[in-house]
Amino acid sequence: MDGVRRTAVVSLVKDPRVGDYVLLHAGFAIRKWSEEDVREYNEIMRDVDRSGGPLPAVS
Amino acid sequence: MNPHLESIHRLAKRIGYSIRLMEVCGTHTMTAFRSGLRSLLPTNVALLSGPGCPVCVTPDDFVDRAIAIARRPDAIVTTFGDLLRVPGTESSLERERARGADIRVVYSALDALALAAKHPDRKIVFLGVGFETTAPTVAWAIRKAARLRQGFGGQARDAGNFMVLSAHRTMPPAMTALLRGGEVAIDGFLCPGHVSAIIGTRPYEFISRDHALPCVVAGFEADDMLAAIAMLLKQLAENRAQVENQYTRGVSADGNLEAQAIMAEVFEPCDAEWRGLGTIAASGLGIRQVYRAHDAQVMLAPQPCVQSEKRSACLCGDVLRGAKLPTACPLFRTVCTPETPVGACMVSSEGACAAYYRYGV
Repeated sequence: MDGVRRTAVVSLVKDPRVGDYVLLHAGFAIRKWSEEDVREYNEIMRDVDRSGGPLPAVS
Repeated sequence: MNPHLESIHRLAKRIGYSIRLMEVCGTHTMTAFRSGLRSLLPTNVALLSGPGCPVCVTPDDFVDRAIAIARRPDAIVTTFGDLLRVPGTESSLERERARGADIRVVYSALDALALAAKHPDRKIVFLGVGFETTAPTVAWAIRKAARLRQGFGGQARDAGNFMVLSAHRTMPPAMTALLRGGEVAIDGFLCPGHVSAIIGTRPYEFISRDHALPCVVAGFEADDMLAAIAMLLKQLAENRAQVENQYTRGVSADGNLEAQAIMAEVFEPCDAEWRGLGTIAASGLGIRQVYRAHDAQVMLAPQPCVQSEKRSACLCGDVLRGAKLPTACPLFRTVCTPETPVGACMVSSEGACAAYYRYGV
């Protein structure tokens, strides 16, 4: 993500595949994100960038 | 204006009375303060911080026992970063490290497991702090260590030197304790996003059902929190009390069943003390007997050198219950600062006091 690489255990998600988006916590993938989830997240982050308003991007 | 914020103002006006919503997640505390969203809420909507920071609710006794272990020459204590500076009764892990104890900050229980393989002559003790998001990862490491010892997959490697001192806690019992205590009026809960990714949304249903309180699981971005607050207010305006999920990309009703299974295999519920809340039945996670070889409490029986006692001036307990704001504490900003913290709420990056100090009201 943004060039950061991490090694993680994927045993806690069903059927992990290369190319899947996952939520990472303390060295483990805890949830798979669907294409729609990724889109929703990107939208939120785009709105944040665009508005430049009172909701700065959480890094 | 952000559409969620518009809804919030409209609904708050419609509701009219003073509304108190509580979040119980350290990430939510951080996001709420960093984004400044609290100051954008209508005057009749207050967002309280509850006991959502796992480091903050860990009592002094745990730090004292960790220190007792760290003082053993054969031990390497591994910990998440924000526990390092939490004051115990008379010292902290950071101070012990300065005095020569082998204490290392790790990102994951897996790092501790790797250290155990690297140093077979030392006892590697991982300090297990965290709620249900972290507990499965620690359970996994314990089970892995046990399997290594048993020679799973053909090679027996002794990982008997890997142990965990568990301070893990579960969130729903604390939410009940807050409500039963009746001290702080709460009109709705923002439920933690990543804890819920593990446990699902069902564990909160008893809160809505038995206490007639709306609960909304919220994601970790400011926009998620605003959306969730709007959903809570909509429930209040419509006189509903249900569990709803705003964080659909992270959370399903069932949660992560594999993670729940691992937690249940390695841990069992036990009574646990929470800073500020006292002892809450079945709110902690203890390591099961079958895995006791990896339970640092059983194997090393750490004896703190001092009697853990309450430091009367520190109001962390009241802050964690949502009963007092950090600004009400006499030590806040005077004696207790991020550089010289007195209480856990100031040390942890997710603590309410640290948030108030850095970002103001």
